[in-house]
Amino acid sequence: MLFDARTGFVYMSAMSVVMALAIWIVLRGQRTSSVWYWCGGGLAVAAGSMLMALRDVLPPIAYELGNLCIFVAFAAKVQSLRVEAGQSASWHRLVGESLLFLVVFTILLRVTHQTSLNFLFGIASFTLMNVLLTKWAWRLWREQQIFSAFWIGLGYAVMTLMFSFRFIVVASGYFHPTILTQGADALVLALASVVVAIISNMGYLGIHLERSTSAKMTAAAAQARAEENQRLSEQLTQLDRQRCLGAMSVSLGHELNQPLAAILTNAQIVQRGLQQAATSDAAHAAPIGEFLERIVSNTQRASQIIERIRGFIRPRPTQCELLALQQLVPEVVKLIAAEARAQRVTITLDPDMPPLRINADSVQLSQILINVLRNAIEALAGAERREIHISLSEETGMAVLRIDDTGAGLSAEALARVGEPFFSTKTSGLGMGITISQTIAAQHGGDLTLTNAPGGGAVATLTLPLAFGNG
Amino acid sequence: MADDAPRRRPVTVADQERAARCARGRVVLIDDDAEICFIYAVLIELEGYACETFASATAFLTTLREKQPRFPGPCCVLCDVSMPDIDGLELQRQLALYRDAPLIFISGSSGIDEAITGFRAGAVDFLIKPVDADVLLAAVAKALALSTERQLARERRTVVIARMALLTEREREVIQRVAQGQTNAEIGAALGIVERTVKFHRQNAMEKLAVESVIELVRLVDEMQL
Repeated sequence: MLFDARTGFVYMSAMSVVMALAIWIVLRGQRTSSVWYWCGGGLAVAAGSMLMALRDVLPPIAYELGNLCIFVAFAAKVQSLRVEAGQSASWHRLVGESLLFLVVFTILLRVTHQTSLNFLFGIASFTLMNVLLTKWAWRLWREQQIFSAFWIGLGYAVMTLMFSFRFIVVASGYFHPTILTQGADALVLALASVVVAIISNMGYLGIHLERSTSAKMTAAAAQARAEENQRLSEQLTQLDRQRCLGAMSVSLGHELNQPLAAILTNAQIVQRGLQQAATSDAAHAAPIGEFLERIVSNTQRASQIIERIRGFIRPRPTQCELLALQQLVPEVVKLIAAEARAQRVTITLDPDMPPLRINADSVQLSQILINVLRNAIEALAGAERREIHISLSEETGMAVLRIDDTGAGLSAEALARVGEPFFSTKTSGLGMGITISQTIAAQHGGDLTLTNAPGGGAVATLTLPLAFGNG
Repeated sequence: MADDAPRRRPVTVADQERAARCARGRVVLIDDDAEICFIYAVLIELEGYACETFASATAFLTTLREKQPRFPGPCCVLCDVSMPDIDGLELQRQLALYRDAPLIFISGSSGIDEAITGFRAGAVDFLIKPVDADVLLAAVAKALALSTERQLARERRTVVIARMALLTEREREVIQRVAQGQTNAEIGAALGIVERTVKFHRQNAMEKLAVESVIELVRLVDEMQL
């Protein structure tokens, strides 16, 4: 006696339980319906194999149950692969197929009393199931480039051949249909089953490993893309700030010249005073201390202007902090005051702005304001009344900053297209200022809209979420 | 008439000092920057001039319309070009009331457009901030000298007009012809009077106009465009 197929079935049973549990444990974080079907199928194989192995010591019904279990195992694994391939797989189908198999098998066994007929039906059903398993596995391999699925398919293709071979030899009457033979065919079938069970379970685990690896790579690529976008957006906002400052440089130069002019004259007066003191009596000397104080204060004034410019232009990553809007707005207005004065535009601030705190990047927020204010100043060129009014209010958890001007307002076309990149009403404009400002506002969880006021003139409304615990 | 008459009040030491400064020159300084206004005013007053500062051209023009009495003396206007309310051209137009005061522009930038605008507005000088104290004072001195010249010319014109009013119709005719280069004989023939009478009219006219020579007479007639 070379080999007893019953031993093979016992091995097969034990191995199937172990592998099903192993997969169940390894994939604990991602138990989709596919995993349920697969592991359930594994347990069904184990049950079926055990029933087959112990057929001699169990009641005769064990034979039908064993065959049913093996069919259920194949059908469940087909369902599992269908799920992996993105197809629907309801349990009704599994139950229906299994019942059909059981009914036909029982009828053939109990009614016809021809052993070979039900045996052949069983083998034919298993062959069909293996063909389906091969088909779905290879489809998975081809459609999703999962190489583990190829090995599953190969394993089931081998099983298909084995079952076909067995079907042919039994049908031709060369071998006895009893599964528990000790012949070479039973040996080969048992060995093949074990090997294919190992390959298919490894392959199934492989599918999930490949999937999670590629998911990680996709996530990493997405993050890299997001970081690149962030960097580009920062560069773009930086460029916009530089362009802004370039356009304002003449008026800022004038602004800076004022304290310098005052410093020069103060210093020259002191110089003259000292010369006079040296030549005549000291009583005539001018009060030098006062002039020196003025030199100091004007130097501070000049350096504040430079500091404001530097703070606006310095390239830096987005950096959110708690900001008091009612303090930031007047600071920004100081930066653009020279430009407004040069264009004879009066900027007025609402005298009682409520204290509102928001979480934002101060430079980028200043940038929005500068863009909007410069837009308004340019819109006022040629207008009879040249005034800009800024007000601040709170509306349902949002800070609302309103900038009204007394210009002609926006044309219908401008209203429709405002915020589109490269749309500009000015011949010299790049058309990026408002687009960038709107992007910044959106990044801060708010928005920026430009409309016309009912009484004439344009209104820019900047809405930003208030910081938690405000007021 | 009574409303226009200056109100009388006691003369103080401060008034006397101010009168002395105004006699040297009065500088009207217009700049919207308080620091600049202050320090230029100090510089100008240290030089012995009187200085009035205004934050805007409008503020200055308002005081002009009030026609307050002023101490006599030369005057000039020192004005920043980039004023929020009124530009240089407009100021110059309004300064017609103040015609003896030359205009000096100061600019924060050296834009050629601003300089052109400034000179078109009738500026006598155009300074770029920061201005050197000596340059500023030199420009002021030059402008005040021009103002003095203009004032003298105007006073002289007033005197001459008064004297011209004393001439008779015949005397006026005679000196016009003298200025055109006609001889006494020619004038006599043209007016149908004897040469002796022509000489008589001419002599009278020269006495009334207080001129010594024919050359002076001719120049005066040309100047007044009789």
